[in-house]
Amino acid sequence: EQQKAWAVNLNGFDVEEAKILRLSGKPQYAPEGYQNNLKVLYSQKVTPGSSRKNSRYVPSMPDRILDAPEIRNDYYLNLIDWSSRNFLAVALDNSVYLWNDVSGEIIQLLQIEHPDVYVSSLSWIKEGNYLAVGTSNAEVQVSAEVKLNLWGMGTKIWLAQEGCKAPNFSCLVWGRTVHSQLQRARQTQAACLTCVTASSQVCSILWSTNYKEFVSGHGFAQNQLVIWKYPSMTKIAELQGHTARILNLTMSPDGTTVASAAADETLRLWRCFEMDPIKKKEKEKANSAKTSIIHQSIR
Amino acid sequence: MAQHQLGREHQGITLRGSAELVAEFFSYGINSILYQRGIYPPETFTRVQKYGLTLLVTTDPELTNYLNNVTEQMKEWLYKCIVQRLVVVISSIENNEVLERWQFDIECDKTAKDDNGPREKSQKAIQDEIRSVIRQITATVTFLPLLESACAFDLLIYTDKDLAVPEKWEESGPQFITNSEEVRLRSFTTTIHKVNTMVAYKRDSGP
Repeated sequence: EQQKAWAVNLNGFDVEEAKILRLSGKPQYAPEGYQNNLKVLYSQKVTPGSSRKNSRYVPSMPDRILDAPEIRNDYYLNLIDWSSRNFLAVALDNSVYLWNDVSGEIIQLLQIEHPDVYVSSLSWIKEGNYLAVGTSNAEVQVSAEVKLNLWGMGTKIWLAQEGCKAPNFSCLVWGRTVHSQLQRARQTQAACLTCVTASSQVCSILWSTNYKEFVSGHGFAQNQLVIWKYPSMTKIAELQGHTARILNLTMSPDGTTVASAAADETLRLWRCFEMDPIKKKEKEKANSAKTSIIHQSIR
Repeated sequence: MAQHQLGREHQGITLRGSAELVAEFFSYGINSILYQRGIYPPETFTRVQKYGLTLLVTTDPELTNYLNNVTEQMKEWLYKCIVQRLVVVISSIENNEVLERWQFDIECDKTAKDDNGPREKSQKAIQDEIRSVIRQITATVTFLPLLESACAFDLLIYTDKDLAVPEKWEESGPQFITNSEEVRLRSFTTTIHKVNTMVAYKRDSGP
């Protein structure tokens, strides 16, 4: 009520009684020939480094941008993980949130009561019904039990780390200096197979499951994601948009989308590994043969 | 009457300082909108540090000139407490249909004109508030409909009715959107000027 009085008395006028002014001349617009690149589908612009005729189309804009306030700006932490049941878990300082890609629902899973303790690591197990939450004071086991009514799952929280395996038994190591090198090394031997110099700090790397490619997340100055072909190490695409360094990358369960969390307090979802329908069917056939074996071994 | 012009830094917020802060916000805010909505090519923007964020501002000379003209005028009108609203109208070039409308309502405490001395609010607090608004503007891309066709933008300023229209300016209609959805964003205040932001867009009639 006080606010209303403030506005009316001090402004003195009803907005309806205002005069509307504009600078004379035409409305402002970009020079001829510019096409709004938010209009994704049939752009003819050729991005440098992707001039091969058979390269697939990678959208240059993210599918979605999510707000991530208070995300800790530390790339040694693992703050995002995407479960096989399509829940993207995000650690924002001392809270963990779950976001569902299909329904768009956001659920706060937990908030740590201890002062000055933050979440340092998140990891889903393969089945996607348990989430491991690591905290900065690693001694304490957080044992709250939380129910997700929407999906009828219970999640127990415990401390653990899930290892990641890359295909072909290769793994990538990465450095954090300005001119970093991406190296491939076999697990058995530390010999470097090839090196590529990225133009900026590399903060995170993720293998694609749909293509023989991987994506790297970078910091200053472009804060971009770069998609590389393996093993040729050629750049397929550069995805720009983040306005501060990328901290973590994670992949959707269907392998089509990469989520990047950055110090600009946003999460961006990039649909960069979309499969064409024919290849998708082939892949699904191959996968269904595998899953039955996995279930057996866990029992 | 000699209130130091640098009141912003040490002495709290003065009317002059507040007018500058708000005009500056509009300049960066409008640049952000033009970049985020793809009104101008992204390569015509350059990165700058402001409000603790990396913001995009235009390098297009004509656009820069246009925005400066408006910002300078806004500063003066904010100082005189006679401006009520700034609107960014985005319309299709082809058929002039208004597709999106960013509305910034301004509330001005006119008692600040009296010689009461500067107000207590830290630069940092105001910056934090402005940062939240700009972040929200960026986040709106998650729900704003795609601007499929080439668009132009116009800036409308609502002033007190009895203001004499300055040279280079003209009167205009409000350019509302027919059948719109509206989303209200956060506001910020300097204690002298309060800015409320909202965006209206054409309601999707598609499938």
